[in-house]
Amino acid sequence: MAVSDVVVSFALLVAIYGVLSLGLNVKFGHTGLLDFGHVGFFLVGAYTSALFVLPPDDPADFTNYVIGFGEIPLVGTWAFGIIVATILTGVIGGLVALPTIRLREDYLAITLLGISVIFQRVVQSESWLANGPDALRGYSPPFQGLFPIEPGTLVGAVAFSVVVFVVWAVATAALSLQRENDSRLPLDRIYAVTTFGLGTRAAGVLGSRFAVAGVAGLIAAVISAALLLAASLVLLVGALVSVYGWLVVLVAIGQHYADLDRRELALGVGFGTGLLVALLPLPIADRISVSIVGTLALLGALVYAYYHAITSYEWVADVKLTVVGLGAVWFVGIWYVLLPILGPLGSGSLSGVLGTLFRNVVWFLQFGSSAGIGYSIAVIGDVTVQLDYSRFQLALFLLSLGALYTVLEAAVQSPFGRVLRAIRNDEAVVKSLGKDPFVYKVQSMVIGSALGGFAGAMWAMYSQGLTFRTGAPETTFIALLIVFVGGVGNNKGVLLGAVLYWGFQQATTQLAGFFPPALRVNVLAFRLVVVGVLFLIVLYYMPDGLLGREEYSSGVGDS
Amino acid sequence: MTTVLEVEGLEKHYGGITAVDGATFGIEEGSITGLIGPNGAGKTTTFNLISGFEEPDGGTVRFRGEDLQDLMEPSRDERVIWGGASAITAGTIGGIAGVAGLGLGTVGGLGTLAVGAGLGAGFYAGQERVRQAREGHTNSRPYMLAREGLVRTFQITRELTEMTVLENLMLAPQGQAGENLANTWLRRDLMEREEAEVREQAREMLELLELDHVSDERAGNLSGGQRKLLELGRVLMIEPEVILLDEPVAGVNPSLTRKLMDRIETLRDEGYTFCIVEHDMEVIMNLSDTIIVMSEGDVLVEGEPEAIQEDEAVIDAYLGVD
Amino acid sequence: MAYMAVETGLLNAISNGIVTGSIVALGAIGLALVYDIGDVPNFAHGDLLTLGAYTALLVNKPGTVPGFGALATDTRGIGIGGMAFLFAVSFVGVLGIVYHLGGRRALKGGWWGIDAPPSVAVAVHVLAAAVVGVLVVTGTPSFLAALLFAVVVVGALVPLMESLVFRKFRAKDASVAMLLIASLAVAFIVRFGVQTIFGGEIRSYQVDTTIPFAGGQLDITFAKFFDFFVAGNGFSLAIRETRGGNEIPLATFSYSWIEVVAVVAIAAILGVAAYRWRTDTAGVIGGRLAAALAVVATVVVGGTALAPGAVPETAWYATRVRASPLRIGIILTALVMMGLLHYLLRATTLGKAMRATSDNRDLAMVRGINTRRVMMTVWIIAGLFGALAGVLLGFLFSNLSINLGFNLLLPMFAGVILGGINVYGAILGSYAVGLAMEVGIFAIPGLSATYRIPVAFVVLLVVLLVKPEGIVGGN
Ligand SMILES: Nc1ncnc2c1ncn2[C@@H]1O[C@H](COP(=O)(O)OP(=O)(O)OP(=O)(O)O)[C@@H](O)[C@H]1O
Ligand SMILES: [Mg+2]
Repeated sequence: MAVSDVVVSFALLVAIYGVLSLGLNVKFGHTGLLDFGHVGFFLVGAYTSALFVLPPDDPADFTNYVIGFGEIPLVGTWAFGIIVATILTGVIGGLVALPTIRLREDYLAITLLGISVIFQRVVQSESWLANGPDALRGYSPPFQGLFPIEPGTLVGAVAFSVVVFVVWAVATAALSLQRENDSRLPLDRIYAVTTFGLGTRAAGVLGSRFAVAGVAGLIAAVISAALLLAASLVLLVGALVSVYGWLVVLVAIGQHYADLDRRELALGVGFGTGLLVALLPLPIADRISVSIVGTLALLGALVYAYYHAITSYEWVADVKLTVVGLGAVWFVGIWYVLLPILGPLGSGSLSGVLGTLFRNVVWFLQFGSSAGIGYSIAVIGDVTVQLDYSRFQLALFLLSLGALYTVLEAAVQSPFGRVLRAIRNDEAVVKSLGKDPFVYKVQSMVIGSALGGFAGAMWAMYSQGLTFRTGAPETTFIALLIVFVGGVGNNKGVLLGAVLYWGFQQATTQLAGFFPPALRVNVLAFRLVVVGVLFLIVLYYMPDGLLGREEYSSGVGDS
Repeated sequence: MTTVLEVEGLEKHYGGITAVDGATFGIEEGSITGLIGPNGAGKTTTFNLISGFEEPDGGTVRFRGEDLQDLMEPSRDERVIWGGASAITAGTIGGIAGVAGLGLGTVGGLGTLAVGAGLGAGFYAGQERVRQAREGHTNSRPYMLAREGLVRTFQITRELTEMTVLENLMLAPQGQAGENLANTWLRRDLMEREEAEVREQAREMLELLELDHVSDERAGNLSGGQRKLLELGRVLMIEPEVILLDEPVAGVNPSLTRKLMDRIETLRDEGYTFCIVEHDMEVIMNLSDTIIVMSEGDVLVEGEPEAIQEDEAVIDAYLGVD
Repeated sequence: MAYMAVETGLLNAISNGIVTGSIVALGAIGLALVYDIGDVPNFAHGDLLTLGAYTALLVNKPGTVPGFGALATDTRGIGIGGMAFLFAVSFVGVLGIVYHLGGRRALKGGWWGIDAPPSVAVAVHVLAAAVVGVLVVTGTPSFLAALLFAVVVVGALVPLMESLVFRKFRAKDASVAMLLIASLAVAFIVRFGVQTIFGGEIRSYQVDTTIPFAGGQLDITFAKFFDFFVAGNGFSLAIRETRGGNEIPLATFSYSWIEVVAVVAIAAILGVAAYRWRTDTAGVIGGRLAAALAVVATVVVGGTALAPGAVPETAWYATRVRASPLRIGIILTALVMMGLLHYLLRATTLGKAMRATSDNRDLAMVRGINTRRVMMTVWIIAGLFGALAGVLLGFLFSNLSINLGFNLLLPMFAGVILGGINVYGAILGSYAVGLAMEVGIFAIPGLSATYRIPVAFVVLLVVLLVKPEGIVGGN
C-alpha cells in the first residue's frame, strides 16, 4: 500500500470520528451533558443504516435479521438508510433524555453509560434482530459497484469528477483564506487561475468565498469530466489536482510556522528528527527485546530533553506546543516522502526512486492495481492508475462532514447556542431569565445523538461489517478524548482533535508492524495506555484543549 | 393603585429550621418596596418562594391575582416535547404490537393495536406522574414566572462565569427568534437582525452600569461589585413588570449606587415595580415608597419609611439604638 | 422409597443472587467509600477487579505470565529468582500500604492510634511484611497464596491513583465531571495496562478443587443439591449430590411444624431481646447486628439439635437449590470481610475518623482529623476489597477476560447509588442488585443470561426515575 493510501484511510477515520465527536461536543462541550453512552447512538445508527441496505435475510445462509430492505427501490439505498438512522438516533436520544436529563451529572453519566450497554447487549443477544452475536455483513458501501471506473463512460466520468469537485473546492476555499496573509508566493495569481478567472470579484456576486470555491470546484469537475470522456486523461487530471492539493498544504504549513525564527525552527526539526531516531531500533534491531528497550529508552530521553528544555528555557516554553507540532509535521514529511524511497535508493534504482516519489506525489490516484489505465512515463516506466473507491468515499465523507459542520455551527453560533452554553455554566441563571433548560437540553441531546447516529452510518459504510463490539464503551472514551484535545465546546477544535488522535493511531499502527504478530495485541493495548496517559495530561494541563473555548461574543449580528 | 403581588401566610421549613413563618404582605404596582430585616430573617427565602425557585410549605402567592402555581403550568415547549415523546412511544408500541398481532389475524391485529395504543397512553400518564414525583414537588418552573414578568436577582451573584459580560446580558431578552433551533437554520436573516438589536441594547445597558470597558471580559473575572451590577443589568434587560432585587448595591461604590437609585426611580415612574432587599438603611429609606420589616420569618411591620424609622419594635429588632 | 424429583426454582435464583450480591458488595464497598469520602465516582473501580484477578496469576500460574516466565520452571513452578521476586513484591507491597498511610511517620507507627516506640512499630511492620512474603512464596502456586498476593499488590497500587491523579485534580478544584472523566482515563490505563502485559487471550486459574474434608474428599466446585420440602406434617431439607451418575443423599433434616414454630418463636424472642440489649450502644455490635446474630445462632442451634427425620414422599411444595461449597465460601468470605470492615469503622480511631470525614469533611479537618490519611485508607480498602472480589470472580467464572471488572462496574454503581453512597447502604444495595439480576433472569421468560447486567441497571434506572437524588439510606 502506498503511503498516500494510508493517508486516505486515515482521513476517512478522521471524518467518521469528527462527526461522532461533534455530536458529543454538542452534548458535553456546549451543554454540559456528560454522555458516557454516546457510543450507543453510534451503534444504533450503524446497524440501522446497514439493515436498510442489506438484502432480506436468509436462514439457509445463517443470516437472520429483522429487516433487510436492500431490494426495495429507494428505501433500500444508503441515502435513505442514513436519513432514517439519523432521525431514529435523534429521536432515541430525545426519548432517553426525557427521564434522565434532570439527574445529577454523575448519575447522568452512569445512567447513559448503562443505556448504551443495554443497546449493546440487545444487539448481541437478540438473534432475530441483527445476526445476534455474529457479524452483520453482506452489504457494500454506496456506489462501490461503479469502481474501478471506466473513464470513457459517463458514469465513470461523473464519479471521478465528484472527487475532483470536493478536492478542488476544499483546496480553493483554503487558498482564498491563505491569500489574505502575507506571502512571497503569487497566491493571488494562482487563485485567479484555479477559480477559472472568477477570482476575488466573484465573491461579491456569489455571496462568499465559499460559494466561489464551490463554483470553482464545479467548473473543475465539469472540465475533468469532459477530459475523461474525450480523451481518458486520468493521469493528467489526477496529477493536476494532486499538485494543487500539495500547493495548498505546503502554503498552509509555511504560513502556520512563518512566525518562527531560525532557532525555533531548528528545535522543531530537531524534535521531529529525534522522534525518528528514537524509533530507529524498531526496524534495525534483530531482537525484539533490544528494539523495545532501545526505543523506550530513546523516547524517554527525548521526552526528558523536551521537558528539561521547556522548564529551563523561557523561549522554548513560549513555543512548547508549536515545536511539537512542527516536529510532527517534519516527522510526517519524512515518513511520507523519504522513507518509502529508502529501499529503491539502497538498491540504486533511479527509476524505482522516481516511481515511488511520483506515486506518492500524485496522491489523488491509486497506482499499480490490476485494473486501471496503463501509461508509460519516461524514466519511471510503466504505471497503471485508477481512481479507487476509497478516494471516492473520502470525497463523500468530507462532503458530509463539511455539511454537518456548517449546519452545526449555524445552530451554535446563535442565541440558541448561547442558551446551551449558559446551561453548561449555571442552570439557575437560565431559569431566572425565563428560559426552560429542560427544553434546550433535550434538543441538545437530539442533535448530538443524531450526529452520533450519522457517524455510525458512516462507520457502517467504512467497515463493511458490524459486530456488537461497534458499541464498545471505549469509543465514547475516544470521542471524549478528541473533544478535550481540541477544545471543549469548540467545533473546530474537535476536528483538530480527530486529526491528532487518528494521526497518533496511524503512526502507532505502523510501528506495531515491526513487532511479531504474537505481540501485536500487547502493543496495541500499550498504545491505549499511552492514550490514557496523554488524556490525563491534557485534562490536567490544558482542560480547555489546544484551541481553547471558542469566544462567541463576536458572533452573528455584529456589524 | 393595584396590588400586583399578594403574599399570604407564606411558610418554609428546612428540617428543624423555620425560615419563613406565615409572612403576609402585598406589593403595589409601580412602587418600590423595601424588604428589610436582620440576617437570617427569611428575606432571601421569601424571594426564592415568590420567584418560584422553591416550593412553599404553606401559604399562597398571587401575581396579578393569579396563583403562582397556576402560572407555573408546563410551558408549550414542554408540553410539545412530552406529547411528542408519548405519541412516538405509543406509536412504536402500537406498531410493534400490531405487526406481531397481525400474525393472529385481522381481529387479533386490531386488538393488539388497541392494546398497544392503550399502553402508550398509559405510559404517557405514568411519565407525567414520574416526572412530577421526580421534581419533588408539583410545580417549580421559575422560568414561567420570568416570562410572565416576575424576575429576581440573587444575593450571592450567579453570573455565567465562562461567558463574556456582553453575552451575559444578551442572554436575557425574552422571545429571541434565534433561541428557536429551527430559526437558526431557516430564519438566519431575522435572527441576525434581532441579534444586532439585542447587542445594541446590551451595550447601552453596559454603558449605564459603567461596565462598557469590560464588555468582552469573562464574567468570572469581574469584581464583586461589578457582578452585582451585571446581575442588575441582566434582569433589566428582560424588561419585566416586577423585579425582586436581593441586595443589589452591596459592594457597589457610592456614586454608582446613587446613579442606580436614580435609574430605579426612573423605571418606577415608567411603571416598573420593585421589591428590594437591602441592608444599607440610607439607600433603602430614600428609595422606598413602602418598607416591610421581617423578623424570624414573619412580617414585623409594614409602612412608610418615616414611620418605620420611628417604630419601637423595629428599632429593637433591627435598627438598633443610635 | 422413591425419591421425588425436585426442580430448581425461585429459591435457587435467590441463592444465586446472594452469591452474585456478595461479589458485587465486595467491589461496591470500595467504590462507595471512594465515592463518599473521596468524592470520586470512580469509573476505574471495575478495572481494579481485573487488575487483582490478573495479578493473582503471577502466583497461581507464574509460567504463563509473559516476561515473568523466565523466572519460572514450568507453568506452575518457580525457581529461586521467581521466589525472590514474589517475596520482594509482597514485602514491598505490605510496607507500601503502610507507607500510603502517611509516609515514614506511618511506618513508625503514626497511624496506630496508640503511642508506640517507633522501633517497635517498624519492627512489627517489617515482620508483617516478611510473614506475608513467606506465606506467598511457600504457598505458591496455591489459590490462597495467589489471593493474598493479589490483595497486597493491588492494595498498595490503588492508592497511587489518589496520590498521582485525583489529589492533583482536586487541588485544582476540578469539577465532578472532570474527576469522572479523569477516572475514565485511569480505567483505560489500568485495563489496557493489564492487556499490555497479558495479551488478549482468555486465562483461568488452576486450582486444586478437592480438599480433604471430614475424612473424605470434597470437591468445592461440585454442586450439592439442597432440596426443600414443605409437607403436611412439617418441613424437611435433604442435601444430596451426584456421584457416578447417581444422586446420593448426604444428609437429611426434618422438622415437624411444632418444632419449626418453636424455633422461629425462640429466634424472634432472642432477636428482640438482643436488639433491646444492644440498641443505643455505640459499640461494634449494634442493635440490628445483635438481633441478626441472635436469630442466626438460634436457627443453627435449633436446626441441628432437632434435625433427625426422613424426607416425605409427597410434598405440597418442593424446590431445589444448587450450591457448591465454593459459592457458600464466597458468601462467607464476603460476610467475614464485611465484619472486619465493620469492626474497623466502629472500633478503631481510623474508622471513626473515616466516619467523621464522611459526614462532613471540613468539620473533620477543623477537628484535627488527618483527612489525607483517611483518604488514603479509603483507597487502600478499595484496592484490598476490589482485588478480593476480582480474584473470587475470576475463580467463580473460571476464566479471566480483560472486561471482567468493567462488566461488574454497572452493577456496583447500581448498588452504591441504591444504597445512597455510603458503605452500609452500598452493601444492602449490592445484595438487592445481585438478587434482582438473578431473580430477574429466572423470572422473566426468554431473557438470556447476557441481560444480567441490564437487569441490574434497569433497577437503578427505575429507582432514579422515582427519586432522582438517589435513595439516601442508612441513617
Ligand atoms: N437551603 C437552606 N437549608 C437550610 N436552611 C436554610 C436554607 N436557606 C435558608 N436557610 C435558613 O433559613 C433562615 C433564613 O435565611 P435567609 O437566607 O432567608 O435569610 P435573609 O433574611 O436573607 O438573611 P441575610 O440578610 O443574611 O441575607 C436562616 O436561618 C437560614 O439558615
Ligand atoms: Mg438574604
